[in-house]
Amino acid sequence: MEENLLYRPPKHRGLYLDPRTKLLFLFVLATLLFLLHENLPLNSILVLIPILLLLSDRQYRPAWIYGGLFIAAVLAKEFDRRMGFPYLPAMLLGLLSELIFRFFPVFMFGYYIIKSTKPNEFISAMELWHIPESFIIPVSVVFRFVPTLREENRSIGNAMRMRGIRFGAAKFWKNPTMILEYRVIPLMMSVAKIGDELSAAALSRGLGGPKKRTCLLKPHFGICDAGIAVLTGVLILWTLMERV
Amino acid sequence: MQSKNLNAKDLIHVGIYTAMYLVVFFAVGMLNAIPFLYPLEYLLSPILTGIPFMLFLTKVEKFGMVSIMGVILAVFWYLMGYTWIPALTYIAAGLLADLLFRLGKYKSFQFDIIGYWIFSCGMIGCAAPMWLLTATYMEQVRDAMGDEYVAGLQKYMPSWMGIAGIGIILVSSSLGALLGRKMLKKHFERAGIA
Repeated sequence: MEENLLYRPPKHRGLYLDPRTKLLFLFVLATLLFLLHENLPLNSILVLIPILLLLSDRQYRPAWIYGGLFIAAVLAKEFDRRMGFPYLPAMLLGLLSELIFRFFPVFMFGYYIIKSTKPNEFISAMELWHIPESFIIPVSVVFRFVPTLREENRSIGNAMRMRGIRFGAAKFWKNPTMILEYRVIPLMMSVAKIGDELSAAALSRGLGGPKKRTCLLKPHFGICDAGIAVLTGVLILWTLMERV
Repeated sequence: MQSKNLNAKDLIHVGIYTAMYLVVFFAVGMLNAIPFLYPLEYLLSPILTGIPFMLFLTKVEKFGMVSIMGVILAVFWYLMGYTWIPALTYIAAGLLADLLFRLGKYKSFQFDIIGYWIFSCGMIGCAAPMWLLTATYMEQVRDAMGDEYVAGLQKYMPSWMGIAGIGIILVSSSLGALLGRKMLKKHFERAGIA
């Protein structure tokens, strides 16, 4: 591999995982969570993995919040089993703990992937897998875009609050479809505009040009990836043993 | 660049509108936390996602864009824990819809409605594990959400809802397409975006 003398990519914080490992593990996680059946220890491990990875990437806040939520959910479930809640709270709690047990590991791992992987790195890893560009580009745009959408949505919300257009306000009840028109349409306007700008910016940087893309960062498997591979093997075995 | 292949701009548009579709879909999807509102999702989702989808269609001129959107959504549903069934239906729906749009040369509004209907039918796959994998899937839902939720689900989402869903979605996606087009006419064309 040729070293570039002028530019060295910045060192990674914490554990370095190859983007390919992260993606594969995301699929493993989603599959295991579906196969999982009332197994608290295994579920806790599946929850712990994203938390530890987030901590190693120094994303302390989300890690603590998620860890706290998980503990609360476990406690609530235990409490419910012993004492029994009445129907409505039990259903709501069940719903929340379902979210925390089954969906959050994938969410948090996805969050970890987004926070710890540079789009650049992600694209070059995907190219090593020979995934066609027509799939890589839209996916990276989706990742890039969701935070933008949230930001735009917040600003539009603020602007509309100034005009007294809000969920639950008196004006809202007079004409409920208004909220759709006043919130969704401006959002889509700005999305369409940002989209055009984004494609102009990407084109001017040579995206979609005839030449093959190069990347200074060479994704490579390391010892942490081997660790994840072993962990995956153990988790899959464990899940299968449970089901037999 | 040849005009037949998808260029970078098209691909970026696919990404943007997929993100938009996902966000709107999830906002509506929160409803199915309550069992008897589950069928309502078939009604509401296609209507509300109609606006982003119709705007997306104004950018689509080549074969493949809608299919790619279907594939990306399929991967998302799989990761969200909906099993492989919605993944399959979304890929199939995306491809079929794309073929239909192509028949209409990406211009005809009639074909847009039919294609959007087919595309929205991919949604049925999200509930399909309930009927196809009843034993394992329901057991799991029961663990998590309790007996009442499962009973509610089975009451309000019997398996014929899958078939009825196609009909419901026909109505709601036509409404969605009309709403989307109305909004395009009212706001976007005037602003010169669509």
